[in-house]
Amino acid sequence: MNSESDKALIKRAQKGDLGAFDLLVLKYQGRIGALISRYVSNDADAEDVTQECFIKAFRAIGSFRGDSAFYTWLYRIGANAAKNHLVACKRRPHADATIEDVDLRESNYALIEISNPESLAMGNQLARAVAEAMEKLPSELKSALTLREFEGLSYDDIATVLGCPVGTVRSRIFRARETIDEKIKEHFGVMGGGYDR
Amino acid sequence: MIRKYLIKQLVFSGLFWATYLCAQPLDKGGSIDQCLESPHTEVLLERLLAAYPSRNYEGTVLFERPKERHFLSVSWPRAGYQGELRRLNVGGEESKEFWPGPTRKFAEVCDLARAYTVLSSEGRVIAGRPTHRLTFKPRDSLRWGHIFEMDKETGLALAAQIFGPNQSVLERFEFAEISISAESSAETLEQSPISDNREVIPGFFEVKEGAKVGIFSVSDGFATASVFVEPLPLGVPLGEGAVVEGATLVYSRGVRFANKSALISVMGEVPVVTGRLLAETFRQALGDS
Amino acid sequence: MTDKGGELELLSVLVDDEASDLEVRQIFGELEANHLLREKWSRYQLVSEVLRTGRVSLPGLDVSEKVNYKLEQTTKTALHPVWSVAIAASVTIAVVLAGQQFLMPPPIADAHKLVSDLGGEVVPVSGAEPVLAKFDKNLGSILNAPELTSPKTSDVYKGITRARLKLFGSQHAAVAALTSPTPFIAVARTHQSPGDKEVSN
Repeated sequence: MNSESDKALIKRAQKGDLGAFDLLVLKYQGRIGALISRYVSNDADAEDVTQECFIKAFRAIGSFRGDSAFYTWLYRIGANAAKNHLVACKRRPHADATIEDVDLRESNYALIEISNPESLAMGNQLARAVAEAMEKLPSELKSALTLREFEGLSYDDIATVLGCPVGTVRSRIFRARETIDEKIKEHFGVMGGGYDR
Repeated sequence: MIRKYLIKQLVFSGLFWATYLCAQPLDKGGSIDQCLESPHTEVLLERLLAAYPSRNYEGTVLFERPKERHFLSVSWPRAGYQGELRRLNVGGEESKEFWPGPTRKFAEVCDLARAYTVLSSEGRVIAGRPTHRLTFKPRDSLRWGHIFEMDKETGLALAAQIFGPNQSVLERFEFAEISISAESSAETLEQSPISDNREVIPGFFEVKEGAKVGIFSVSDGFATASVFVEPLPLGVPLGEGAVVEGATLVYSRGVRFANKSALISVMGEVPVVTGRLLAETFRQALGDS
Repeated sequence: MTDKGGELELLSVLVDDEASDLEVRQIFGELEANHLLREKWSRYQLVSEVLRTGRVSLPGLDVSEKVNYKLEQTTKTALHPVWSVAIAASVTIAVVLAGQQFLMPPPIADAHKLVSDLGGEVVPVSGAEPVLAKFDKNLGSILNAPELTSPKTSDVYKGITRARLKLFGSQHAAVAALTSPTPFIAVARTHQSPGDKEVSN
């Protein structure tokens, strides 16, 4: 199973549901923004191109058939948007990067230059906080989240592997996420309240 | 003697980095050796890890699994840097079996601490010798738990259990009698660190040396699993199955990738979920190769 | 209306794309009413990205509001509101009917776990479908789902795994002996009782 299946959201977005598409934007804007930043050095321009990418994606989403992962489809739109911007500005991409050199493997975006040191520092802090929170999770929660995030197993498969009901899998994954979220909230300046559980 | 490594280059996706990330110990102030909360427990664990093969011993062991019980005569070392085992309750002529001596320290305290929570307590008197008890509770569901009762004087394990969920005992052994010499006459153990080729796969397993025939084995310091990949026998449908005897799992899965098919078998003292994950890792690697 | 814990769990399920149609409708209803859920979604996604890749891309970037605004300005109404309601109502009925079936707890006979980790023999599965295992009653209890078991595949893999136990046992033992303070046990495990011992309930 593709661990980044977005079928439910895509289906709604294809029917014109802006709320569903908004969730897709929230999910992928960082990665698409990072891709575009490789070619568009000016931060304001990069943000504009990223916006443009998502607007184009919404308009074309009816043509998305699910043959590839949604992120792959978005990636192509983003890459084209960046290229078009460069052509329009008659600028050359920085460093040695060309559109053709970019590897579509998800892991590659970890190598993308981050032009903003503050963003880099925040990302590192966040990554560390998540790792620490994960390390401290009770083992049953950690196992469930591991099988979901690392293995991309469906809930049914996780239930089979762990020998527990699907409802328990749902609950454990949720509790694991909530535990980690409580630890990382401070990185987002989230005030107390709102979701007292 | 086991000489060669079989290190298979697997294609690790973000899974590798994320798993490795989660397996990293948190920064602790102080010495790198302080990986357990209790210094006393850490000292005991170091002694347990160092005792074999640095001590000669000979004795009789009772080994039990569900519906099985064996009496074994064991001795270390024998000629050729190996240990010897004889099964005492097998009908007919006794046959000798051997195990290879290690060529390096097989586990580090910090590595084990990442996979297990380690607790120490007073142990029983075993074969007339007082013991410390070390309990290794797994940090996740990818491995079993272990209990060792180690000789207070020498650190040798005189009894051990592997336990599963709800403290169910999967297998255990205990020395009925043992004689231990002051120091080993075996060749000097090469105290080299684990190979730089160590890799991490789900649940923090490190790649260890392979056997003569080149199987791929992984271990977390206690639990070891070996992966065998062979062509899918003719007529065998795709599917999976497993058999468990005591703590030992054999999990086999028939897979298809590209235009080929293979049978991936995982054998080890690990739960089914780990066998499945290991087989899946290999299946993906085969698919990418 | 779900309680706060319930809607958060639904959000988590949506992250994994495991929500039923009914649950998707429920959570979207909540999302419209509560902006904090949207922020929670963002953080869940960041966590997911970190877990999978070890890092997060441009955590400070947020174009979502601007994208949403621009799309709202340019999106036209596809249908007359009355027809939209009619279609939505029919979809709702279908989803509720399906949802009720989905939400009912499965009958005992359908529950399945592959629980071979407590000893005994595991009935093999066909493809990715799980089956229930029989194992030593001293170590636990399981439920059988014979309808999920292909008897032919079951028999085949029964033989295969047993054969591998014999075939590879000594090789594995040699390796396991290298990573244990009690190496003789690795060798002891390779013993097979005369006549292929059967582990049963």
